Amino acid sequence: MSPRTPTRTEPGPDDGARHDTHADTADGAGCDAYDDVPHTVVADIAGLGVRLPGGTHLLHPAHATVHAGRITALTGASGSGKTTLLKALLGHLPPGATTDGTARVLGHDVLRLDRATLNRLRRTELAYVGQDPGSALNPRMSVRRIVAETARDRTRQGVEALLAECRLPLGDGLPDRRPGALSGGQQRRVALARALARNPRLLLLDEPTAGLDPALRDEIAHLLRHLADTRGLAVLMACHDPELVGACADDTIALATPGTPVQPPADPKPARIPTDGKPLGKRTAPRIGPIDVRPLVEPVAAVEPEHHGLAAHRITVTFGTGRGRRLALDGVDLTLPAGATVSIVGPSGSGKTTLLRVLAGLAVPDSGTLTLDGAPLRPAVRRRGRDRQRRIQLIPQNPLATLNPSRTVGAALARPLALHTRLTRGARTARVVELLELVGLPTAFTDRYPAELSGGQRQRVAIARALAVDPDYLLCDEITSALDPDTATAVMDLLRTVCAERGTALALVTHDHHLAADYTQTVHVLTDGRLTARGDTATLLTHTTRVVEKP
Amino acid sequence: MTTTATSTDNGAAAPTRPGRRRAARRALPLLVPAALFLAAALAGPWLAPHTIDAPVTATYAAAGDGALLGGDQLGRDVWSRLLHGGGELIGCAFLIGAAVTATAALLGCLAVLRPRAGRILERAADVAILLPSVLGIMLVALAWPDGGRWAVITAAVVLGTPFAVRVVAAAAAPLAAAGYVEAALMRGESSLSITVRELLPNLRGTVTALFGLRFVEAVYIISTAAFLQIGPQPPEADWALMIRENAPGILLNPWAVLAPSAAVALLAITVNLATSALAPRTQAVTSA
Amino acid sequence: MAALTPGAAAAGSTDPATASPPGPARAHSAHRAGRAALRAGAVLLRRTLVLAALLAVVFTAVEILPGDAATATADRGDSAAAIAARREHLGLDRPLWERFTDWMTALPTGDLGTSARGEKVADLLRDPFPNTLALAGAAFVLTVAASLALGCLAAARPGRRTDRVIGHTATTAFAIPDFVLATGLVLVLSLWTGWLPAVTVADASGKPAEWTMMIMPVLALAIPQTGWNTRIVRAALTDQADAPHVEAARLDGLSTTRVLLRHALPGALPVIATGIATSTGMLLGGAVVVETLFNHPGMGTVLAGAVAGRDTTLIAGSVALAGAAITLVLLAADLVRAKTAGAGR
Repeated sequence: MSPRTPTRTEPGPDDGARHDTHADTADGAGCDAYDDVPHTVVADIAGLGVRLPGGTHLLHPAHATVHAGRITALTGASGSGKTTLLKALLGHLPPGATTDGTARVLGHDVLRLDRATLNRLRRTELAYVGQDPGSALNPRMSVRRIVAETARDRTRQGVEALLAECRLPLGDGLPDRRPGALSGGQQRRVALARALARNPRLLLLDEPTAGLDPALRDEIAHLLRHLADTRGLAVLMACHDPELVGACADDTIALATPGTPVQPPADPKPARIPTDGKPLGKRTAPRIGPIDVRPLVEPVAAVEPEHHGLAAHRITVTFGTGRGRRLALDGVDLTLPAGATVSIVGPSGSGKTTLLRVLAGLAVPDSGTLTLDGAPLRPAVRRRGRDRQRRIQLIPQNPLATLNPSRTVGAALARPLALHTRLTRGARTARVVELLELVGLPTAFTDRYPAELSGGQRQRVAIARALAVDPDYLLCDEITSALDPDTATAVMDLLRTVCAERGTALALVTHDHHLAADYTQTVHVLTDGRLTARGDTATLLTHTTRVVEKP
Repeated sequence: MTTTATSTDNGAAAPTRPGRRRAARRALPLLVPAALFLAAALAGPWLAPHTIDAPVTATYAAAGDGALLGGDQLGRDVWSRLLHGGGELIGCAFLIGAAVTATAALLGCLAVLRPRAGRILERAADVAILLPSVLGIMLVALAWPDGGRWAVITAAVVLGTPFAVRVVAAAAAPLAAAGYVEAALMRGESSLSITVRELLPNLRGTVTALFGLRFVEAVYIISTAAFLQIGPQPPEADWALMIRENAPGILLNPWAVLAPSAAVALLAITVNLATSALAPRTQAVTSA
Repeated sequence: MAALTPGAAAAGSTDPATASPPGPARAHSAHRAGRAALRAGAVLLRRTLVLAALLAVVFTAVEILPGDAATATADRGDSAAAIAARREHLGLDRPLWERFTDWMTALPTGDLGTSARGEKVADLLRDPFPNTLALAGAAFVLTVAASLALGCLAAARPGRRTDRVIGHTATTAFAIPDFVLATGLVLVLSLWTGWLPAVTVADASGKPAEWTMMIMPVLALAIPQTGWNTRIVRAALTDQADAPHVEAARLDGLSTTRVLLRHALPGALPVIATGIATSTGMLLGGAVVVETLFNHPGMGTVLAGAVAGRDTTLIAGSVALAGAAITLVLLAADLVRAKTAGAGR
């Protein structure tokens, strides 16, 4: 099968044993002719592709049919356009986007529908629950009003029946609370209740179980199954979770990842619900198979601070005050020996960036100590003194903001030299040229502004800027997460080479285990602000070809 | 919102230069009236047919007959006084606008880079909000009887700065989390250096808009003060003073009041529209 | 896709079963009420302290700058000894700190001090201040209503002609000084058309004799502030339009009006409340100026006299009253912010 052609397996026999008919997309094997159960087509997508004005593809032309009473799973790597497809079925496209093909929902060509009809369709026949349903609920309305707003039956009984159907407890005053007072799982089910309140014919779900534990996930799967069976609801869900697909999907549609780089959407607010290792909104293109971390049997023991290196000892950081207060880091140790390479990995919200910022002196910990070559290091970078400031440098994450848009590349590279060296103006210019050559950029780039550079080029300039002062420790925060795979590899290879040549120690924060495995010797795994594993990357991060079984 | 969020998800980037040029073209129709009006008001004294204090016609004489806009309460030429009356107002407003903007630009960036200083400045703004500017000017004019224009200028700068600091700080806050600012902190740049090299160059839009807004505000304060007879004294030609002096004769020669009123209003309106054209656009609303 | 085995399950611990069960409902709400009262008390204290700080600054500034009431009210021929006697009579020879604490401690009792002419400031302001407050209050109500309506109207049609016209009109309106606008209004609505009285006449009780006399002063005050606040409302609604729950409401097919009023506006209210509260000072100050133009029986007339008579105490007393009025509006804005902050726990 061509990687660009989405495939759809035929539904398995409709004998009630749906849980084992979940399709394997590889070959469409096992597709029997099904019984003469009437299949109403609710939505039909024919060659639908979505492109941004710049020519980047959000969705490569895809085909899909969604039937009443059946659950269809939409799979594919992040960036393959699952969300774009779901929203296109609602008649919603990103501003300026152009489309190929058609999307028909209940007989309407939704992308060419007038506003009034489209709104009526959204209001009565379709329902969409997004990836982060908690933020999609109006924080200033009670659960009861949230559900009643779109309901056909707005009576107290009607609303409570819906909440009960979505297995929400009614006894402890939940209907009168606001979304902020609910747990993540409850918010998700309230969003589902609001969606079902209009009695829709097509339910669109984006990652309905992201961030939920297995028990809750099974419960959601049962609920969806129940709704499809009893209400004859057509469900289309974008899902990367094979367990859920296996548990309840009748059909599976796999989307191909567009070849053209897609601008990642702005990262949503840091999830209070840590996702299960899935980087939200970040583009990853696994080059090898999935990786899992071997469970740690022994708790991580505290290490003695080393005498040569940058070390953090028992670092604790809290954010917020009062009730919103939460631990970002809880007694974390980390040592970056001179000349070594260390990575910090973990899901988003696990505190890995915070840990790096503590080392950098940009975040001040509530407790814990920092040492540099065994001597205490002030937590705030401002107070560390000129030479120590020089020795530790940071390469920031976002290539768009890593360079000052108002200053040329030459000015950006000359400034650290002016601050930390006694070079004359002429010598500085010569050194800027050397630095550009070092990171593989043409010397003519000195007069360019960041807007005239690509993301990879900007990160190269950022590396050159950090290296200009000849640091001993280089801290890198997700520096390749917004770059396409080839550029990311080139940038990382460059970083490895220059650090090895100069004996610069490298600390790498990343959500990408491959990156950690390929470029660092030691890995630290953070989960929920705690260090859950530490050790040699070769032994701790093992390459496997299948997704690990959930316990 | 947590610190991680601001540190990792910063998308702040200045518009590309072609985009800036396009914005400038769109702003042009709103910039030209302000430029023309300012030029006319500043060149006025050389165009005036009469001096400001010589009676040339009857008290509140109607327009025409040697006086284009008639005479004022002493029979002086309203047109000539109108042409003379703008320069000082514009000059003072410019001075106030520039002083407030420059102070606020520095303090606003400092407030963002040094949270403790930021909290103090925030409290100062809380205090300043409680003092209506008109009362503030009366206070200063009282306590400094010989201050004249300078008393008004001082009062306007002191009263206007806290609010302006807030505006700059709000615009600078997202930039302070940008990678290039953190990189500058990491290499040990001073707060002043970061303000001047890293922050202000990317706040040009905000600072320009702020200057325009403060200019308009200064026009309001100076003209209100003059109207309350604080600052310029008779027989000076001043638009606000002219409104007050000629109000009793408004029925006999409406131009004696209407012309300076229109002049003050046009000055403020043209500059304000020009400012709104230069202000950074808020995100366009994307409707589904 | 990478998956972490340890901790992955714990990461999803958002199950209601593991979430802490809420206590008995009544105890819960009592606890909440206590917490709210505590927070309200803290806000009240903070606002009061800020007001006290303003008065301290005003008092000190008046003392530091050259000239005092004794020299100001002195006639040209007065000897130095006569001025010194006056100073002693007015208590100006006592230390600054002592006079300040005396003045401050007397304020809560309604004693605003003694004017340069020896009269009680509280007596001088008793009649005019409510008139000014009524004028500014009416303008405030009009400003709130008009700017909310116009801002919502513009936000409902983003980028269309209504939006642009409202935007430019608002920008124009807030640039015009209120006394200039008042002059124009008098000219048009009174002298040329004769619809409204040009001058306010007070009746026996010291109030404006007819309510029509309020129309022009109120309009002159409200129009510029409406311009300013319309822009704030519009901008706050624009920011809210991108919030995830507003986007979700749109995808639920709700009408534009419902999305705007039920989903976007509540989130925008904190910003709007702050903006409108900031206008209070402009309205009070503007009222003082506009009153002199219409001869309205308010603070304007008293203060004009105070400026001419160099009466610092009188003006400081007025500042205290105005500051207290603005503080009340800011507290109301705090209340709106607390109600709509969204945490809603």
